[in-house]
Amino acid sequence: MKKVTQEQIQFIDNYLKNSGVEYIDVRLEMLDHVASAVEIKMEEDQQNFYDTFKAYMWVHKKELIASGMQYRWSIDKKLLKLVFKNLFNLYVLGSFAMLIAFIYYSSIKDISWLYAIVMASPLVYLIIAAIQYRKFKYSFLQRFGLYGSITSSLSYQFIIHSIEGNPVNFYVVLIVLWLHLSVVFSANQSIKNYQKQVLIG
Amino acid sequence: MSNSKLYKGSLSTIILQLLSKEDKMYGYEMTQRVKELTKGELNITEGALYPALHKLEADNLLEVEMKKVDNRLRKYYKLTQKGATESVSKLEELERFMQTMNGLINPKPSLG
Repeated sequence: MKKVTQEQIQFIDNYLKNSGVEYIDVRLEMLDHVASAVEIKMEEDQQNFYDTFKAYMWVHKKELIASGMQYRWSIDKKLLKLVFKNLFNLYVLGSFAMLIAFIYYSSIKDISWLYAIVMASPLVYLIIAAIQYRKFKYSFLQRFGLYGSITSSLSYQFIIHSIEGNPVNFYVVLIVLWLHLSVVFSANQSIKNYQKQVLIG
Repeated sequence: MSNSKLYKGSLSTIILQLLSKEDKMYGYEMTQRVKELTKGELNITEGALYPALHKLEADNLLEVEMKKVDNRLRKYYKLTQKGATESVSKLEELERFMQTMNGLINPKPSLG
């Protein structure tokens, strides 16, 4: 059985990346699919890698790339389940409790600083992740960032205009912050799990 | 899945059935196995297979295992406990559907 070499694997990976499949976790499965198909065709047709690859992509490229780039509700469903499960994670609850204790015992009565944290937190963890994992782009990180931005945006739309003096807003901001803590924890957990799977592999 | 829309609704059942007979399989292997079992009649495309696999994974019917094979990483899928139970009920559902369709297409002559 003919096998594709490390350079040819890199070639397929670059090809997929340049075709718009930018997330490494999506590309990984696609790369194996293409490489497996090319290996079988190389064996059947007794052709070299580049001719076989070209012929394969000529037929399959459109569907392959579209499949790699399409939006999938199933992925969001999985990630959102994780976020809601992690709301009751000990670390998330612990961090949240510490924050509440800080607010309770501090003399700060103006909650706009808390609101600023809520608004900035998705940006902060996106920037941290972007720097820490700058070589790798994970599709799930982008989704987590989106969830944080949506909750920030919704809370902004609904409560920013009456943030001062309304105690209900304070609790809304706290709930959003709790949700954000869970999003950050879930994003970190997903990266670690994914890297662990890849390393074990 | 290029050749028939009729098969589309059964894709999850097909995947669960394939995995109930194997410990674990990867995407390309599934497309080839289906092609082989149906003598080329059914051709599952990437665009249909991977969204279906990811949906089954999100529903906790499948779990994933990564393995390094021939200088690249391969994502294997296997049935979870829930997936194994679901594969039995999906098969029963499909068999009932086939019986119903058969009854409609080939009605038995009535005695009266």
